[in-house]
Amino acid sequence: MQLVELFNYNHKLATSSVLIRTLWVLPAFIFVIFSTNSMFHLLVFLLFITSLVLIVKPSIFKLIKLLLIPGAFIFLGCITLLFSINLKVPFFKMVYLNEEMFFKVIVLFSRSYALIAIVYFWILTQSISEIASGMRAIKIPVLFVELFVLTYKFIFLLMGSFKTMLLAQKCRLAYSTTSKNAIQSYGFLFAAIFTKAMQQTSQIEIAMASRLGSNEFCFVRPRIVNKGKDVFTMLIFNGLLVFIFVIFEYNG
Amino acid sequence: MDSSIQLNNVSFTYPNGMEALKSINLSLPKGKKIALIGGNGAGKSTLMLLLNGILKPTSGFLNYEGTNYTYNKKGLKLLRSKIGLLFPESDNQLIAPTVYEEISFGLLNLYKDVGLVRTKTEAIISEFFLHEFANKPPYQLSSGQKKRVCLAAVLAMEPEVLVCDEPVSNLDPKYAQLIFNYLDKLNEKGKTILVSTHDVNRAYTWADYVVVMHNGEILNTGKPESVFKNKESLKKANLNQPFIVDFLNEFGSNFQDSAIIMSKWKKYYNW
Repeated sequence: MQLVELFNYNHKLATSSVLIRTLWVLPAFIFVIFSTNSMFHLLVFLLFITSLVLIVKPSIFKLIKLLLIPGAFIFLGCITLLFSINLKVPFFKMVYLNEEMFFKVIVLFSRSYALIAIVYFWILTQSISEIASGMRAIKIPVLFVELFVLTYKFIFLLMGSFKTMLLAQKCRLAYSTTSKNAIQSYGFLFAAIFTKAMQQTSQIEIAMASRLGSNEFCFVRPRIVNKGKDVFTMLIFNGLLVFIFVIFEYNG
Repeated sequence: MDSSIQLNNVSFTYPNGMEALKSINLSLPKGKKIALIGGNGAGKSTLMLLLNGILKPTSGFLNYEGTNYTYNKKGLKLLRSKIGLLFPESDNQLIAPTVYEEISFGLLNLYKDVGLVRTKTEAIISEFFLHEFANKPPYQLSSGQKKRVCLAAVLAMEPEVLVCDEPVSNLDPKYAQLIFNYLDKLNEKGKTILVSTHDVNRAYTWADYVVVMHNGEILNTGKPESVFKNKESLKKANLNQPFIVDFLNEFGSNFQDSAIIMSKWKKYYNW
C-alpha cells in the first residue's frame, strides 16, 4: 500500500497555493499537540478525514488501509504504557494493568490518530514538486532537495525494474529450489538493480545535458493565484477549529 | 541541396576501445525528413549523440550550417538549443516530478525569464493536448503519453533540427502514427528531422532521404527509391527491402518501375 495510490493530482485544492494548504493544517496541528482532550482529538480526526474524502476523493477502502498502517506502532506504544512490570511480587502477578496510565494512553492514541489525519491530509494535497519547492523556500541545502527529488523518481523506476527482474528470475525457478539458491538469486537481483540504477543515473545526466541542463534540477511550476474563495474557506475552517478548541479546553 | 549538419571524417571510439564510428562523411540535407537505418550496433545512437554534442568525435569534425562544432560551454549551449535530441527510452529522459515541470526544464535552461518559460510551457501543453496530465508525475503515464511528453519537452525549446533515436520503439501503431504526424507537422514548418529506425517500411514511406549504416560506417545514402533498390547494401546492414519494393520485385524487373511510381504516391498513405 503506497500513498501514491490515493493521490489525486486534480484534487479540489490543486489550484490553490501551498501556503493556503499549509495554513489549512498548521493551526490544527498545533492545537492537537497542546490539547489533552480526547474528544477534541476525535473531532479533529473526523474533520480532517471528512475534508480529505471531500477534497481528494480517495477510495474509502484504501484510506482505511492507510490509516491502519501506523496503527500497529501506536498500539504497541499504548500496550507498553498500559502494562507495567513489578519485580517485587510473585511471577504471575508481575505484569499488571496500570490504571494510572489509562487516561494517558487514550490521549496518546487519540492525539496520534488526529495528527495522522492532519499529516495525511497535508501530504495528499501536496505534490512532490510542491514539497521540494517548500524545502527550497525554507533554505534546505540544494543537495538534499535534489536527493529528495531523485529518490522519488528512482523509487518508482527501480521498483518497476525490481518486479520485472524478480518475475524473470521466478520464471527460471530462482526461488523455488534450495534456500542457498534463493539467497544467491537475491544477490544477483540486488546487483542487477544497483547496476541499472547506475546506468539510469548516467542516462539521466546525458538527457539533462542534451536540454542544456547542468546537474541542477530546476523547474518552473504553474502560476498559482490565491482565490478569495479558498482563503475564505480556510479561514472559516480554522475559525471553526479555534471555536471547538476553546469549547473543549476551557468549558469541557 | 543545402546541408544542415555535415560530418567530416568523423570517428568515435568509446573509452573501452570499441570503435563505434569509422571515418564518416555525411551531409544531412536541410528541411528534409531523414531516416537513419541500420541493424543493432550499427552506430546510429552514437552518431545521434555526436550530433547533439553529447559526445565529441575522437577524430574529424562536425559542422552545423557552416560553423564547426565547438565544445566549450557557450558553443554547446548554442548547439543544443538548435539541435534537439529525443531519446529512445522515455524513462531516461523524464526527470521532473510533473509533466509541466518536465517541459519547463529545457526552457528554464534557455531563458531566464520565468514568465516567458511559463508562457512557452503552457503553449506546448496546449499543442500536445497534455492538459489532462500536466500535474501528473511522468512515471504514471502510459508509454505513448510519456513519448509525447518527451517530444513536447524537446520541441518546447524550438530546435531547428530534431534528432529522434527510435522515437516509436515500444509504441503501438496508433501512438507511433501520432508521433510521426507530429514530426511531419514540424517538417512542414521547415525543420530538419532525423529519425533512427529499424523499420524499413516506415523509412520508405516517410523519409525524403535515407542513410544506411553498418558497423560504424555509412553504406549508402540517397532518396528512398534508390537506397531501397539496393538489396545488397540492405542485406549487409542486416535489413530487408520494404515490403512493397520486395513484393513488386518478385514480379520481375518490369515491376521495379512500379515501386518508383508507388513511392511517389507514398505521401498519400501510411504504411
